[in-house]
Amino acid sequence: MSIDIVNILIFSGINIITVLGLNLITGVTGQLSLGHSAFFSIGAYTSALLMLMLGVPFGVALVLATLMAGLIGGLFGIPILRLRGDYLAIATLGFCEIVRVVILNLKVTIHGSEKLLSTSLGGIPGNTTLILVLSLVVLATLFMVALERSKFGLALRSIREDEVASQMMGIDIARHKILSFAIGSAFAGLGGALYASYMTVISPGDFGFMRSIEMLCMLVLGGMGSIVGVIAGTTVLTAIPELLRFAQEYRMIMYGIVLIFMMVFRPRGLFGSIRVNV
Amino acid sequence: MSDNTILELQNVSLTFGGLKAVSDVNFKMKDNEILSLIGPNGAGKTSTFNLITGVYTATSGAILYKSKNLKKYKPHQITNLGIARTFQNIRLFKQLTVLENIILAMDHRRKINFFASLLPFGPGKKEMESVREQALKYLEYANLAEYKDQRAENLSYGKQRELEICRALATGADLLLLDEPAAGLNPSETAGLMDIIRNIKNNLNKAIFLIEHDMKLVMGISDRIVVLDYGQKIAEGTPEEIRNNPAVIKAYLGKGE
Repeated sequence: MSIDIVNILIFSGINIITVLGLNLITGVTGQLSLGHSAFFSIGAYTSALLMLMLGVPFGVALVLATLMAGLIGGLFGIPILRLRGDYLAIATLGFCEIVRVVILNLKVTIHGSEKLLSTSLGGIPGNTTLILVLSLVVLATLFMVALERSKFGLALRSIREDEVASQMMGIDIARHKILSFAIGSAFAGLGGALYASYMTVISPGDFGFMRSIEMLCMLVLGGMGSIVGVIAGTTVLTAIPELLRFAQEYRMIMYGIVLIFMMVFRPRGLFGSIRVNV
Repeated sequence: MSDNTILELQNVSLTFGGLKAVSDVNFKMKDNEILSLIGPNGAGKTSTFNLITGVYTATSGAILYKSKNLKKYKPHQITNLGIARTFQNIRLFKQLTVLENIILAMDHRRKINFFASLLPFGPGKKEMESVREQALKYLEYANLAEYKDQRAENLSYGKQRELEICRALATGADLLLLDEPAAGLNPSETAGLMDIIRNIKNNLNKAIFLIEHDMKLVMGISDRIVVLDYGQKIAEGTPEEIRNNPAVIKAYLGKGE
Protein backbone atom coordinates (compact mmCIF):
# COMPACT_ATOMS: atom_id res chain seq x y z
CA MET A 1 0.00 0.00 0.00
CA SER A 2 1.57 3.30 -1.03
CA ILE A 3 -0.24 6.37 0.31
CA ASP A 4 -3.53 6.12 2.15
CA ILE A 5 -5.40 9.24 1.03
CA VAL A 6 -8.47 8.52 3.15
CA ASN A 7 -6.27 8.18 6.20
CA ILE A 8 -4.56 11.51 5.52
CA LEU A 9 -7.88 13.26 4.91
CA ILE A 10 -9.43 11.97 8.11
CA PHE A 11 -6.44 12.98 10.20
CA SER A 12 -6.31 16.36 8.47
CA GLY A 13 -10.01 16.88 9.16
CA ILE A 14 -9.69 15.97 12.82
CA ASN A 15 -6.69 18.28 13.15
CA ILE A 16 -8.46 21.12 11.30
CA ILE A 17 -11.39 21.03 13.73
CA THR A 18 -8.98 21.01 16.66
CA VAL A 19 -6.69 23.74 15.35
CA LEU A 20 -9.70 25.93 14.46
CA GLY A 21 -10.34 25.91 18.20
CA LEU A 22 -6.74 26.86 18.95
CA ASN A 23 -6.96 29.60 16.35
CA LEU A 24 -9.91 31.12 18.18
CA ILE A 25 -7.97 31.15 21.45
CA THR A 26 -4.55 32.17 20.18
CA GLY A 27 -4.98 33.64 16.69
CA VAL A 28 -8.19 35.60 17.29
CA THR A 29 -8.15 36.35 21.01
CA GLY A 30 -4.36 36.46 21.36
CA GLN A 31 -4.10 34.10 24.34
CA LEU A 32 -1.18 31.70 23.90
CA SER A 33 -2.19 28.19 24.91
CA LEU A 34 0.19 25.24 25.17
CA GLY A 35 -2.51 23.06 26.68
CA HIS A 36 -4.74 22.44 23.71
CA SER A 37 -3.96 18.74 23.58
CA ALA A 38 -5.38 18.39 27.10
CA PHE A 39 -8.84 19.25 25.76
CA PHE A 40 -8.28 16.93 22.83
CA SER A 41 -7.62 14.10 25.29
CA ILE A 42 -10.60 15.08 27.48
CA GLY A 43 -12.79 14.79 24.38
CA ALA A 44 -11.25 11.47 23.37
CA TYR A 45 -11.60 9.85 26.80
CA THR A 46 -15.04 11.29 27.52
CA SER A 47 -16.45 9.93 24.29
CA ALA A 48 -14.63 6.59 24.55
CA LEU A 49 -15.67 5.98 28.16
CA LEU A 50 -19.27 7.05 27.57
CA MET A 51 -19.54 4.50 24.79
CA LEU A 52 -17.64 1.71 26.55
CA MET A 53 -19.04 2.09 30.06
CA LEU A 54 -22.59 3.30 29.46
CA GLY A 55 -23.20 2.21 25.90
CA VAL A 56 -24.05 5.76 24.86
CA PRO A 57 -24.60 6.04 21.09
CA PHE A 58 -21.74 7.56 19.10
CA GLY A 59 -23.56 10.76 18.10
CA VAL A 60 -24.53 11.55 21.68
CA ALA A 61 -21.03 10.75 22.93
CA LEU A 62 -19.62 13.13 20.34
CA VAL A 63 -21.84 15.98 21.55
CA LEU A 64 -21.21 15.27 25.23
CA ALA A 65 -17.44 15.05 24.70
CA THR A 66 -17.54 18.43 22.96
CA LEU A 67 -19.56 19.99 25.79
CA MET A 68 -17.35 18.40 28.44
CA ALA A 69 -14.15 19.81 26.93
CA GLY A 70 -15.83 23.20 26.58
CA LEU A 71 -17.05 23.17 30.17
CA ILE A 72 -13.66 22.21 31.58
CA GLY A 73 -12.01 24.78 29.31
CA GLY A 74 -14.31 27.49 30.62
CA LEU A 75 -13.85 26.52 34.28
CA PHE A 76 -10.11 26.31 33.87
CA GLY A 77 -10.16 29.65 32.07
CA ILE A 78 -11.71 31.49 35.02
CA PRO A 79 -8.60 31.54 37.21
CA ILE A 80 -6.01 31.32 34.48
CA LEU A 81 -7.02 33.92 31.94
CA ARG A 82 -5.99 36.83 34.10
CA LEU A 83 -2.44 35.80 33.21
CA ARG A 84 -0.88 37.10 30.03
CA GLY A 85 1.66 36.01 27.47
CA ASP A 86 4.35 33.64 28.65
CA TYR A 87 2.80 33.31 32.12
CA LEU A 88 -0.41 32.09 30.55
CA ALA A 89 1.55 29.73 28.30
CA ILE A 90 3.29 28.10 31.28
CA ALA A 91 0.00 27.79 33.19
CA THR A 92 -1.70 26.07 30.24
CA LEU A 93 1.30 23.79 29.97
CA GLY A 94 0.82 22.90 33.63
CA PHE A 95 -2.83 22.14 32.99
CA CYS A 96 -1.84 19.85 30.13
CA GLU A 97 0.34 17.84 32.52
CA ILE A 98 -2.38 17.70 35.18
CA VAL A 99 -4.87 16.21 32.73
CA ARG A 100 -2.31 13.67 31.55
CA VAL A 101 -1.46 12.58 35.09
CA VAL A 102 -5.12 12.41 36.13
CA ILE A 103 -5.85 10.12 33.19
CA LEU A 104 -2.79 8.00 34.01
CA ASN A 105 -4.21 7.37 37.50
CA LEU A 106 -7.84 6.79 36.67
CA LYS A 107 -9.45 3.41 37.21
CA VAL A 108 -12.67 2.57 35.39
CA THR A 109 -15.02 -0.40 35.28
CA ILE A 110 -15.85 -1.69 31.84
CA HIS A 111 -18.19 -4.67 31.52
CA GLY A 112 -17.59 -5.57 35.16
CA SER A 113 -13.83 -5.62 34.98
CA GLU A 114 -11.55 -2.93 36.38
CA LYS A 115 -9.23 -1.19 34.03
CA LEU A 116 -6.39 1.30 34.51
CA LEU A 117 -6.33 4.10 32.00
CA SER A 118 -2.53 4.25 32.14
CA THR A 119 -2.55 1.35 29.72
CA SER A 120 -4.11 1.66 26.32
CA LEU A 121 -7.88 1.70 26.08
CA GLY A 122 -9.13 -0.41 23.20
CA GLY A 123 -12.39 -1.64 21.75
CA ILE A 124 -13.75 1.87 21.10
CA PRO A 125 -16.45 1.63 18.40
CA GLY A 126 -14.86 2.82 15.16
CA ASN A 127 -17.60 5.11 13.93
CA THR A 128 -15.55 7.95 12.53
CA THR A 129 -15.93 8.05 8.77
CA LEU A 130 -14.51 10.34 6.11
CA ILE A 131 -17.97 11.75 5.29
CA LEU A 132 -18.64 12.55 8.93
CA VAL A 133 -15.28 14.23 9.43
CA LEU A 134 -15.54 16.30 6.27
CA SER A 135 -19.09 17.44 7.07
CA LEU A 136 -18.00 18.47 10.55
CA VAL A 137 -15.01 20.33 9.07
CA VAL A 138 -17.39 22.29 6.85
CA LEU A 139 -19.72 23.07 9.77
CA ALA A 140 -16.84 24.02 12.06
CA THR A 141 -15.35 26.30 9.41
CA LEU A 142 -18.67 28.05 8.74
CA PHE A 143 -19.21 28.52 12.46
CA MET A 144 -15.76 30.05 12.92
CA VAL A 145 -16.15 32.39 9.94
CA ALA A 146 -19.49 33.61 11.30
CA LEU A 147 -18.13 33.92 14.83
CA GLU A 148 -15.16 35.99 13.78
CA ARG A 149 -17.36 38.42 11.87
CA SER A 150 -19.89 38.76 14.66
CA LYS A 151 -20.03 41.31 17.47
CA PHE A 152 -18.45 38.72 19.75
CA GLY A 153 -15.62 38.01 17.28
CA LEU A 154 -14.82 41.70 16.90
CA ALA A 155 -14.57 42.02 20.68
CA LEU A 156 -12.19 39.03 20.77
CA ARG A 157 -10.00 40.60 18.09
CA SER A 158 -9.92 43.86 20.03
CA ILE A 159 -8.66 41.94 23.06
CA ARG A 160 -5.85 40.54 20.92
CA GLU A 161 -4.96 44.04 19.75
CA ASP A 162 -5.03 45.80 23.10
CA GLU A 163 -6.55 44.37 26.23
CA VAL A 164 -6.50 47.61 28.21
CA ALA A 165 -8.09 49.68 25.45
CA SER A 166 -10.68 46.98 24.89
CA GLN A 167 -11.70 47.08 28.53
CA MET A 168 -11.83 50.87 28.41
CA MET A 169 -14.20 50.67 25.46
CA GLY A 170 -16.64 48.75 27.62
CA ILE A 171 -15.75 45.15 26.80
CA ASP A 172 -15.96 42.67 29.67
CA ILE A 173 -12.65 41.10 28.78
CA ALA A 174 -12.71 38.37 31.43
CA ARG A 175 -16.06 37.06 30.19
CA HIS A 176 -14.99 37.21 26.55
CA LYS A 177 -11.70 35.44 27.16
CA ILE A 178 -13.36 32.66 29.14
CA LEU A 179 -16.00 32.14 26.45
CA SER A 180 -13.35 32.10 23.74
CA PHE A 181 -11.36 29.55 25.71
CA ALA A 182 -14.45 27.40 26.28
CA ILE A 183 -15.48 27.40 22.61
CA GLY A 184 -11.91 26.74 21.47
CA SER A 185 -11.58 23.86 23.93
CA ALA A 186 -14.90 22.41 22.81
CA PHE A 187 -13.54 22.19 19.27
CA ALA A 188 -10.51 20.31 20.59
CA GLY A 189 -12.89 18.00 22.45
CA LEU A 190 -14.80 17.27 19.25
CA GLY A 191 -11.51 16.56 17.46
CA GLY A 192 -10.45 14.23 20.26
CA ALA A 193 -13.75 12.33 20.21
CA LEU A 194 -13.46 11.80 16.45
CA TYR A 195 -9.87 10.69 16.91
CA ALA A 196 -10.80 8.09 19.54
CA SER A 197 -13.44 6.59 17.30
CA TYR A 198 -11.11 6.52 14.34
CA MET A 199 -8.15 4.92 16.12
CA THR A 200 -10.38 2.64 18.28
CA VAL A 201 -7.40 2.40 20.65
CA ILE A 202 -6.11 5.36 22.66
CA SER A 203 -3.48 5.73 25.36
CA PRO A 204 -2.29 8.71 27.43
CA GLY A 205 0.91 8.81 25.38
CA ASP A 206 -1.08 9.99 22.34
CA PHE A 207 -1.90 13.33 23.99
CA GLY A 208 1.31 14.66 25.47
CA PHE A 209 2.56 18.19 25.53
CA MET A 210 4.27 17.65 22.15
CA ARG A 211 0.86 17.28 20.62
CA SER A 212 0.01 20.82 21.78
CA ILE A 213 3.18 22.08 20.16
CA GLU A 214 2.31 20.25 16.94
CA MET A 215 -1.09 21.99 16.92
CA LEU A 216 0.59 25.33 17.47
CA CYS A 217 2.99 24.63 14.57
CA MET A 218 0.04 23.92 12.28
CA LEU A 219 -1.53 27.21 13.29
CA VAL A 220 1.65 29.22 12.89
CA LEU A 221 2.49 27.62 9.54
CA GLY A 222 -0.92 28.44 8.12
CA GLY A 223 -1.03 31.89 9.67
CA MET A 224 -2.48 32.90 13.00
CA GLY A 225 -5.95 34.34 12.83
CA SER A 226 -6.56 32.99 9.33
CA ILE A 227 -9.14 30.26 8.85
CA VAL A 228 -7.86 29.42 5.36
CA GLY A 229 -4.43 29.29 6.95
CA VAL A 230 -5.60 26.79 9.57
CA ILE A 231 -6.91 24.50 6.84
CA ALA A 232 -3.75 24.80 4.73
CA GLY A 233 -1.21 24.61 7.55
CA THR A 234 -2.93 21.68 9.20
CA THR A 235 -3.28 19.71 5.97
CA VAL A 236 0.35 20.31 5.00
CA LEU A 237 1.77 19.31 8.38
CA THR A 238 -0.55 16.30 8.66
CA ALA A 239 0.33 15.09 5.17
CA ILE A 240 4.10 15.64 5.26
CA PRO A 241 4.96 12.83 7.68
CA GLU A 242 2.70 10.47 5.75
CA LEU A 243 3.93 11.47 2.30
CA LEU A 244 7.53 11.25 3.45
CA ARG A 245 7.15 7.78 4.86
CA PHE A 246 9.64 6.53 2.25
CA ALA A 247 12.31 8.76 3.79
CA GLN A 248 11.96 6.90 7.08
CA GLU A 249 13.89 8.52 9.88
CA TYR A 250 14.66 11.65 7.87
CA ARG A 251 11.04 12.73 7.69
CA MET A 252 10.94 14.55 11.00
CA ILE A 253 14.07 16.44 9.95
CA MET A 254 12.30 17.53 6.78
CA TYR A 255 9.27 18.51 8.86
CA GLY A 256 11.56 20.72 10.89
CA ILE A 257 13.17 22.22 7.81
CA VAL A 258 9.76 23.21 6.44
CA LEU A 259 9.03 25.08 9.66
CA ILE A 260 12.37 26.88 9.64
CA PHE A 261 12.01 27.99 6.01
CA MET A 262 8.48 29.20 6.68
CA MET A 263 9.50 31.32 9.64
CA VAL A 264 12.37 32.87 7.69
CA PHE A 265 10.46 33.65 4.51
CA ARG A 266 6.85 34.02 5.66
CA PRO A 267 6.84 34.73 9.38
CA ARG A 268 3.11 35.44 9.37
CA GLY A 269 2.38 32.03 7.87
CA LEU A 270 1.04 30.89 4.52
CA PHE A 271 -2.16 32.92 4.69
CA GLY A 272 -1.67 35.08 7.76
CA SER A 273 -1.89 38.86 7.61
CA ILE A 274 -1.74 39.80 11.25
CA ARG A 275 0.86 39.89 13.97
CA VAL A 276 -0.05 38.22 17.21
CA ASN A 277 1.94 39.47 20.15
CA VAL A 278 1.25 36.98 22.86
CA MET B 1 -24.41 69.15 45.29
CA SER B 2 -25.64 71.26 42.40
CA ASP B 3 -27.69 69.60 39.68
CA ASN B 4 -25.26 69.78 36.83
CA THR B 5 -22.26 68.24 38.59
CA ILE B 6 -21.18 65.30 36.45
CA LEU B 7 -18.05 64.24 38.33
CA GLU B 8 -16.93 64.78 41.87
CA LEU B 9 -13.77 63.68 43.65
CA GLN B 10 -14.07 63.66 47.45
CA ASN B 11 -10.81 63.44 49.40
CA VAL B 12 -9.41 60.92 46.96
CA SER B 13 -6.04 59.37 47.81
CA LEU B 14 -4.01 56.66 46.12
CA THR B 15 -0.89 55.17 47.64
CA PHE B 16 1.55 52.66 46.18
CA GLY B 17 3.39 51.28 49.18
CA GLY B 18 4.82 54.38 50.82
CA LEU B 19 4.35 56.62 47.81
CA LYS B 20 1.36 58.94 47.75
CA ALA B 21 0.54 59.25 44.06
CA VAL B 22 -2.68 61.14 44.70
CA SER B 23 -3.28 62.77 48.04
CA ASP B 24 -6.60 64.04 49.36
CA VAL B 25 -7.77 65.54 46.09
CA ASN B 26 -11.15 67.29 45.89
CA PHE B 27 -12.86 68.90 42.96
CA LYS B 28 -16.12 69.01 41.07
CA MET B 29 -16.78 69.10 37.37
CA LYS B 30 -19.93 70.39 35.63
CA ASP B 31 -21.60 68.57 32.78
CA ASN B 32 -21.00 71.35 30.29
CA GLU B 33 -17.43 72.34 30.88
CA ILE B 34 -13.93 71.68 29.70
CA LEU B 35 -11.81 71.05 32.76
CA SER B 36 -8.05 70.70 32.46
CA LEU B 37 -5.76 68.87 34.83
CA ILE B 38 -2.22 70.15 34.71
CA GLY B 39 0.93 69.77 36.71
CA PRO B 40 4.58 68.77 36.38
CA ASN B 41 5.52 65.22 35.32
CA GLY B 42 4.75 62.71 38.04
CA ALA B 43 2.19 64.97 39.69
CA GLY B 44 -0.48 62.25 39.61
CA LYS B 45 -2.51 63.34 36.59
CA THR B 46 -2.69 60.02 34.77
CA SER B 47 -3.15 58.27 38.13
CA THR B 48 -6.23 60.43 38.63
CA PHE B 49 -7.56 59.31 35.24
CA ASN B 50 -6.83 55.71 36.13
CA LEU B 51 -8.78 56.16 39.37
CA ILE B 52 -11.79 57.60 37.58
CA THR B 53 -11.81 54.84 34.95
CA GLY B 54 -11.43 52.09 37.54
CA VAL B 55 -7.96 50.91 36.57
CA TYR B 56 -6.87 51.75 40.11
CA THR B 57 -9.05 51.72 43.20
CA ALA B 58 -8.71 54.71 45.49
CA THR B 59 -7.02 53.98 48.81
CA SER B 60 -9.48 56.37 50.42
CA GLY B 61 -12.10 58.87 49.37
CA ALA B 62 -14.91 58.61 46.86
CA ILE B 63 -15.40 59.32 43.18
CA LEU B 64 -18.95 60.16 42.13
CA TYR B 65 -20.17 60.15 38.55
CA LYS B 66 -23.70 61.54 38.20
CA SER B 67 -23.97 61.00 41.99
CA LYS B 68 -23.04 57.32 41.68
CA ASN B 69 -20.07 56.09 43.68
CA LEU B 70 -17.77 54.37 41.17
CA LYS B 71 -16.03 52.25 43.78
CA LYS B 72 -17.86 49.00 43.09
CA TYR B 73 -17.70 49.26 39.30
CA LYS B 74 -15.21 47.50 37.06
CA PRO B 75 -13.49 49.49 34.29
CA HIS B 76 -15.77 48.21 31.53
CA GLN B 77 -18.85 48.96 33.62
CA ILE B 78 -17.64 52.50 34.18
CA THR B 79 -17.45 52.91 30.41
CA ASN B 80 -21.01 51.63 30.20
CA LEU B 81 -22.06 54.27 32.73
CA GLY B 82 -20.80 56.95 30.38
CA ILE B 83 -17.10 57.71 30.91
CA ALA B 84 -14.68 57.11 28.05
CA ARG B 85 -11.04 57.94 27.67
CA THR B 86 -8.10 58.24 25.32
CA PHE B 87 -4.54 57.34 26.18
CA GLN B 88 -1.28 59.21 26.55
CA ASN B 89 0.37 56.83 24.11
CA ILE B 90 -2.22 56.02 21.47
CA ARG B 91 -3.93 52.69 22.06
CA LEU B 92 -5.97 51.97 18.96
CA PHE B 93 -6.76 48.47 17.78
CA LYS B 94 -3.98 48.74 15.23
CA GLN B 95 -4.74 45.79 13.00
CA LEU B 96 -8.46 46.40 12.92
CA THR B 97 -9.93 48.79 10.39
CA VAL B 98 -10.88 52.33 11.29
CA LEU B 99 -14.56 51.40 11.06
CA GLU B 100 -14.07 48.30 13.23
CA ASN B 101 -12.43 50.47 15.89
CA ILE B 102 -15.60 52.55 16.07
CA ILE B 103 -17.99 49.58 15.93
CA LEU B 104 -16.12 48.00 18.82
CA ALA B 105 -16.64 51.11 20.93
CA MET B 106 -20.39 50.76 20.33
CA ASP B 107 -20.32 47.13 21.50
CA HIS B 108 -21.88 47.62 24.92
CA ARG B 109 -24.82 49.47 23.41
CA ARG B 110 -25.61 46.62 20.99
CA LYS B 111 -28.33 44.38 22.34
CA ILE B 112 -28.17 41.47 19.94
CA ASN B 113 -28.51 37.83 20.86
CA PHE B 114 -25.27 35.87 20.45
CA PHE B 115 -26.75 33.29 18.08
CA ALA B 116 -28.64 35.85 16.00
CA SER B 117 -25.40 37.77 15.57
CA LEU B 118 -23.76 34.73 13.95
CA LEU B 119 -26.29 34.37 11.13
CA PRO B 120 -25.63 36.17 7.86
CA PHE B 121 -29.36 36.91 7.49
CA GLY B 122 -32.32 38.01 9.60
CA PRO B 123 -32.04 40.23 12.67
CA GLY B 124 -28.26 39.75 12.95
CA LYS B 125 -27.66 41.18 9.49
CA LYS B 126 -30.08 44.04 10.03
CA GLU B 127 -28.49 44.97 13.32
CA MET B 128 -25.00 44.84 11.81
CA GLU B 129 -26.07 47.16 8.99
CA SER B 130 -27.57 49.71 11.34
CA VAL B 131 -24.47 49.63 13.55
CA ARG B 132 -22.21 50.17 10.53
CA GLU B 133 -24.36 53.10 9.50
CA GLN B 134 -24.12 54.70 12.95
CA ALA B 135 -20.38 54.06 13.09
CA LEU B 136 -19.97 55.75 9.71
CA LYS B 137 -21.79 58.80 11.08
CA TYR B 138 -19.22 59.08 13.83
CA LEU B 139 -16.45 58.83 11.25
CA GLU B 140 -18.10 61.44 9.05
CA TYR B 141 -18.40 63.75 12.02
CA ALA B 142 -14.65 63.34 12.62
CA ASN B 143 -13.81 63.66 8.91
CA LEU B 144 -12.34 60.16 8.92
CA ALA B 145 -14.89 58.40 6.72
CA GLU B 146 -12.55 58.13 3.76
CA TYR B 147 -10.21 55.94 5.81
CA LYS B 148 -12.88 53.57 7.07
CA ASP B 149 -11.44 50.40 5.52
CA GLN B 150 -7.81 51.12 6.31
CA ARG B 151 -6.07 49.55 9.22
CA ALA B 152 -5.82 52.01 12.08
CA GLU B 153 -2.03 51.58 12.18
CA ASN B 154 -1.75 52.97 8.64
CA LEU B 155 -3.20 56.37 9.55
CA SER B 156 -0.90 59.31 10.15
CA TYR B 157 -0.12 60.10 13.77
CA GLY B 158 -2.46 63.08 13.88
CA LYS B 159 -5.33 61.09 12.36
CA GLN B 160 -4.74 58.32 14.89
CA ARG B 161 -5.18 60.85 17.70
CA GLU B 162 -8.43 62.01 16.11
CA LEU B 163 -9.63 58.44 15.65
CA GLU B 164 -8.98 57.76 19.31
CA ILE B 165 -11.17 60.70 20.32
CA CYS B 166 -13.82 59.61 17.83
CA ARG B 167 -13.71 56.10 19.29
CA ALA B 168 -14.21 57.46 22.81
CA LEU B 169 -17.21 59.42 21.55
CA ALA B 170 -18.65 56.31 19.93
CA THR B 171 -18.99 54.64 23.33
CA GLY B 172 -21.83 57.12 23.84
CA ALA B 173 -20.09 58.63 26.85
CA ASP B 174 -21.14 61.93 28.37
CA LEU B 175 -17.74 62.52 29.93
CA LEU B 176 -14.58 62.23 27.85
CA LEU B 177 -11.19 61.95 29.51
CA LEU B 178 -8.46 62.99 27.10
CA ASP B 179 -4.94 62.13 28.23
CA GLU B 180 -2.50 64.49 26.48
CA PRO B 181 -4.36 64.60 23.17
CA ALA B 182 -1.94 67.14 21.71
CA ALA B 183 1.22 65.17 22.49
CA GLY B 184 3.28 64.81 19.32
CA LEU B 185 1.06 67.08 17.22
CA ASN B 186 2.43 70.03 15.26
CA PRO B 187 0.99 73.55 15.86
CA SER B 188 -1.54 73.39 13.04
CA GLU B 189 -2.73 69.94 14.13
CA THR B 190 -3.02 71.25 17.68
CA ALA B 191 -5.17 74.13 16.45
CA GLY B 192 -7.37 71.61 14.65
CA LEU B 193 -7.62 69.60 17.84
CA MET B 194 -8.78 72.65 19.77
CA ASP B 195 -11.60 73.12 17.28
CA ILE B 196 -12.57 69.46 17.61
CA ILE B 197 -12.68 69.64 21.41
CA ARG B 198 -14.73 72.86 21.39
CA ASN B 199 -17.03 71.36 18.82
CA ILE B 200 -17.63 68.26 20.93
CA LYS B 201 -18.47 70.41 23.92
CA ASN B 202 -20.69 72.92 22.15
CA ASN B 203 -22.49 70.75 19.59
CA LEU B 204 -22.58 67.36 21.30
CA ASN B 205 -22.90 68.71 24.85
CA LYS B 206 -20.21 66.50 26.30
CA ALA B 207 -18.11 67.26 29.35
CA ILE B 208 -14.39 67.07 28.66
CA PHE B 209 -11.70 66.43 31.21
CA LEU B 210 -8.27 67.01 29.81
CA ILE B 211 -4.68 66.32 30.79
CA GLU B 212 -2.34 68.42 28.73
CA HIS B 213 1.11 69.96 28.78
CA ASP B 214 0.54 72.30 25.84
CA MET B 215 -0.26 75.51 27.73
CA LYS B 216 -1.54 77.32 24.67
CA LEU B 217 -4.18 74.63 24.27
CA VAL B 218 -4.98 74.48 27.98
CA MET B 219 -5.32 78.24 28.38
CA GLY B 220 -7.18 78.51 25.09
CA ILE B 221 -10.03 76.07 25.63
CA SER B 222 -10.36 75.33 29.35
CA ASP B 223 -13.29 76.67 31.32
CA ARG B 224 -11.50 75.81 34.52
CA ILE B 225 -8.16 74.27 35.47
CA VAL B 226 -7.07 72.05 38.35
CA VAL B 227 -3.35 71.98 39.17
CA LEU B 228 -1.68 69.00 40.81
CA ASP B 229 1.80 68.82 42.27
CA TYR B 230 3.20 65.82 44.14
CA GLY B 231 -0.29 64.32 44.16
CA GLN B 232 -1.89 67.32 45.85
CA LYS B 233 -4.23 69.89 44.44
CA ILE B 234 -2.42 73.19 44.68
CA ALA B 235 -4.80 75.39 42.73
CA GLU B 236 -8.14 75.46 40.97
CA GLY B 237 -9.73 78.20 38.90
CA THR B 238 -10.18 79.87 35.56
CA PRO B 239 -7.20 80.13 33.18
CA GLU B 240 -6.66 83.76 34.30
CA GLU B 241 -6.55 82.82 37.97
CA ILE B 242 -4.19 79.92 37.32
CA ARG B 243 -1.85 81.97 35.17
CA ASN B 244 -1.25 84.39 38.04
CA ASN B 245 -1.28 81.92 40.91
CA PRO B 246 2.07 82.05 42.79
CA ALA B 247 1.85 78.39 43.92
CA VAL B 248 1.47 77.25 40.30
CA ILE B 249 4.36 79.39 39.12
CA LYS B 250 6.48 77.96 41.91
CA ALA B 251 5.57 74.37 41.04
CA TYR B 252 6.42 74.87 37.40
CA LEU B 253 9.45 77.11 37.61
CA GLY B 254 10.79 76.52 41.11
CA LYS B 255 11.31 79.40 43.50
CA GLY B 256 14.32 81.66 43.07
CA GLU B 257 15.92 83.28 46.05
